[in-house]
Amino acid sequence: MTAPSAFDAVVVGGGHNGLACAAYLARAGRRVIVLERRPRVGGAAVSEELHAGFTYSVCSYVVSLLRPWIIRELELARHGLELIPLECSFSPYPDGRSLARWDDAQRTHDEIAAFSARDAAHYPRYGRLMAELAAFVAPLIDEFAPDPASTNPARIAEALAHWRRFRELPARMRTTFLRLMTASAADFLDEHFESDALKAPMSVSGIIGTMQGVRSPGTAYVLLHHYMGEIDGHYRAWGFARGGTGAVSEALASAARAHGAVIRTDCEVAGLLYDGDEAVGVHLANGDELRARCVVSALDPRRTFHGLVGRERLSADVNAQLDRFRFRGSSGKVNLALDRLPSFTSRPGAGPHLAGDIAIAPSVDALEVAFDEAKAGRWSRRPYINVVIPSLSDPTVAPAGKHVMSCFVQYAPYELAEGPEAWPEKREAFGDDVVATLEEYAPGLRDSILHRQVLTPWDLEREFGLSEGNIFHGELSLEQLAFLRPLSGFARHATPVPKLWLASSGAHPGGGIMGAPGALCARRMLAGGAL
Amino acid sequence: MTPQTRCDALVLGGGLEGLVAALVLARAGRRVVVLSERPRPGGLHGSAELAGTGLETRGTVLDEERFPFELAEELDLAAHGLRFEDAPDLLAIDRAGRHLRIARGAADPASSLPTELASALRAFAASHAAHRALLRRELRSEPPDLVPEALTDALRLSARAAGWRADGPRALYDLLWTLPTSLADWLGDHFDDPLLAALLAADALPGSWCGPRAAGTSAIWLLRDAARGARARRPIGGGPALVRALLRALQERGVRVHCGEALGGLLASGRGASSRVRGAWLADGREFRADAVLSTLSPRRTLEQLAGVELLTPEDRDSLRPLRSRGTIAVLDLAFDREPAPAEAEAGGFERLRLLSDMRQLEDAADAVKHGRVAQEPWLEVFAVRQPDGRALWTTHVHGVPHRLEGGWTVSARRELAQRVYAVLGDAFPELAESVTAERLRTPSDLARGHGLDGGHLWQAELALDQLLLLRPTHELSRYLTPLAGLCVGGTAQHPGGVMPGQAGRLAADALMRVT
Repeated sequence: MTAPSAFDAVVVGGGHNGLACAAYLARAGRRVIVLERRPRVGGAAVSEELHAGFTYSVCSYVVSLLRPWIIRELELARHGLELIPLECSFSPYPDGRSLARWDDAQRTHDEIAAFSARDAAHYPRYGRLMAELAAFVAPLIDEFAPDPASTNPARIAEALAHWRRFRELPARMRTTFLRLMTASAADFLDEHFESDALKAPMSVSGIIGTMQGVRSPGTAYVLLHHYMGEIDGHYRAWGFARGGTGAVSEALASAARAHGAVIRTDCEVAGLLYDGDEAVGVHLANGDELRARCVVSALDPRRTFHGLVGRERLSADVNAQLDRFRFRGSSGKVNLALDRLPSFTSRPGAGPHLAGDIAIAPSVDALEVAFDEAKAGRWSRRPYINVVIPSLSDPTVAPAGKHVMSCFVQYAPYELAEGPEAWPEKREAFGDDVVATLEEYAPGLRDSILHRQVLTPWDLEREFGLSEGNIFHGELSLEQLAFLRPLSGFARHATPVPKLWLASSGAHPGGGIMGAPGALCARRMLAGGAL
Repeated sequence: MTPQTRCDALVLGGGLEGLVAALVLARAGRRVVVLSERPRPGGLHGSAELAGTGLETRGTVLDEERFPFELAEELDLAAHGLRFEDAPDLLAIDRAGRHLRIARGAADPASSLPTELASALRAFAASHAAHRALLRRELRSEPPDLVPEALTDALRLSARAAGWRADGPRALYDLLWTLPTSLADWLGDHFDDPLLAALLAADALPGSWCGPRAAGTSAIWLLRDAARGARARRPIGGGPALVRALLRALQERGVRVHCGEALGGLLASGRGASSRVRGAWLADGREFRADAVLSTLSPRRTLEQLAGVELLTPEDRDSLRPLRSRGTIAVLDLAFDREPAPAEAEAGGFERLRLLSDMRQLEDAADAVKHGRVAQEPWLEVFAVRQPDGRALWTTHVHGVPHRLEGGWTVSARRELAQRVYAVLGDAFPELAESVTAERLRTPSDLARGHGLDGGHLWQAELALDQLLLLRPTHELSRYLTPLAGLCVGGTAQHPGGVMPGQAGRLAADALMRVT
């Protein structure tokens, strides 16, 4: 059943980036087919009803970084995407106190002032500083990565343009930017705030998805991501997609289909077809072949190059770079179906504080202890947990009066001391520790659980194809960003294999449901005359 | 009327950086005075007698191998008796008694390793050798101005950028990949042998607050490697000999070095934006007036204490907030009439010895510090000085000791620390405890008091990705100028302090001469 080059591009992997890439290519009139191994599209941006009436955002659970221009250009709202902003960040503490930061500046001020008047006064200034820096950084993630080594005049001009924007920043902002790119999240926050109760829940955005601690250098810049979240033009807004995170993927798929793309699920790709060195299609696990003028991989770099392509087709240098590319998943996910809302000792009963995100991050030191355990190959007995209860904002995901609770848990290192393959037998013990941690803050939670799904990094790898369970397709550490992501010299979506393109989060600008890698990949393919 | 001394440049601090700065200025024809708060010049490079033994230490910091020979040539220190020699072997012994030796001063430092490890080390050295010349140039230059105003500065910046690209894209990618990487990752990719990896990683960790898993530890490693060069050499007689040569050269040029002077503050003329530093006053009321002041004291001491709130704006004070200087090293000096016999014959007669086992131990030591505790099993670097009569003095850096110990540095806490160190030393030298004739233990907190070191940090400011190169110690201060006209800073908190001794003083003196 091979129709030679019936398609201009075959996209391997129907995650949000594969879909975004396909949608952009189709929108430009190209004939595209997306092949997804799982029964539904979305990859890790997926909603599934795993317990009757309860829909989990199985992996990725909030939407903040999805680039606004993608939402506009692909008309995702018309394709069913509805984002519901989170209006609160709530953190309970072991001493019975709690802090909630609201959309309302005065309310936030009053809450923080209970811990530190100085911090309360500084908090809005900090927010403005970060928003300005986020505005400076945004073009870096919405464009191809600048390349300091290139001798191509066009690349040099791009780099100079970024340097000019840097020069135009006020001196203080320049310093802050340089520190942000090099400091640890905790050190950076120490400059601004004194209260641990404020710093701890703020610092965690620096470590999400990475095998680093809040005191590890190089984690500060991720703090910026918090201020890059932009929903309807509001900075620092995080949100849920109505119907769960899978709705983002469904909207992208719908946009792609509307432009004529074909999407096939339950369709596993086994390898690539070549004509000489060039990728000219794929062969499927069922033995079929599918030819196209080029191939796009939306899989992570390891699965793309050492899975689809294979070492033997790559140079020694490329193989060495891939071998040192770090994945090291560090997080797990626990999804709960609840009979009733949890009640936190520090702020009992229901209330709007439960409708945002809830951070179990008792102190900077406690977060470091959690990391120390992970370094030794154990999951944190008292991990950082980011909890959301989307059913409060979106009644479609749970039966009336019931709730779903999504818990992002860190650290759960892929490399257990006993080896990653020990995870399946430890899975439930890990889940028990997560519930026990929550129970300390919200007694009675355990008894309200109707169903529990525990995902370890091992499961994320097996089920969702995330190598070593890394949610970003490779750590977002400094040496794996921009022109070094994933391979130096191949940071602009082209790969060492002619006519094979990389559209995944393993490419610049990285993970976090931005959609940018997929969209930029399509842009590059169209502009480069490859299609 | 208070007694006054007048000069062109007043140098605060009589440590290595201060003496170098003073000599650079004096050689350029400036009239210079040096004021030191310590009783003896030389700071952490100077020698001190270990009480009652008649034995002199070879300084407190052990970075003599990274003193740049170019600077010695430039200052003509050979004329004042300074000679260089090949650095001694670096020996490492792990807790099981296994040892490895690196011939730091030999043309092929790997030659003393077992064959397999030697080839791993050679391959590793070859993988980064290309960066050495570039990084050494960076160490010898002041950090760049990223947003130059003048055209000449802009041209200089672009020439510098071209220098980074000169070896081609492959080399630049590789360097930019390596700098922010963690040592655990980088060395882990090259070495299977845990002792060899730890032995190498230990080069970068002193002065850092982090363990080898921290991002950017490879940058510190590469910079120190570039400072040492492919084949390490050191001044004969170490830091004390260097200090003596500098003092002789200064004396020859009529520069006075006043020691044991208690500083009161900076003198300034004018108010607000037009104010200018004009010297310093002492606690006893004397004044030293100068056209400019170059302080090699820590930035906090210089700006927060000596300049103080009258001279600094709140913004200037804020810019010091991020500066971190938390010491993690205790120094234990031990005297022997006869050195204890080593458990392994190989360790006999060592000059430089590291007692460590693996990366995990280094990481644990940093984690202990992070939580305000002393490492269960601190890792040690021992430096031996021997007398012809068989007596010896060992200076030991004990790594994994916090400045702020949980519960404070009580007598029992000090005893506990000493016991842990003796336990590690005792594995390698079973009769050590009985052989010691005198000891002196300085915790980071003692070093803070005794040497005016913020946080007891031996290099004034932590070595970390956000406090290196053009961010050292803060971006605002990185080019040796301060917000105050007439005041420069040139201590080890400045680039390339902590990496290449003496060079910060030299670059600060250049900066001072550019603006006065």
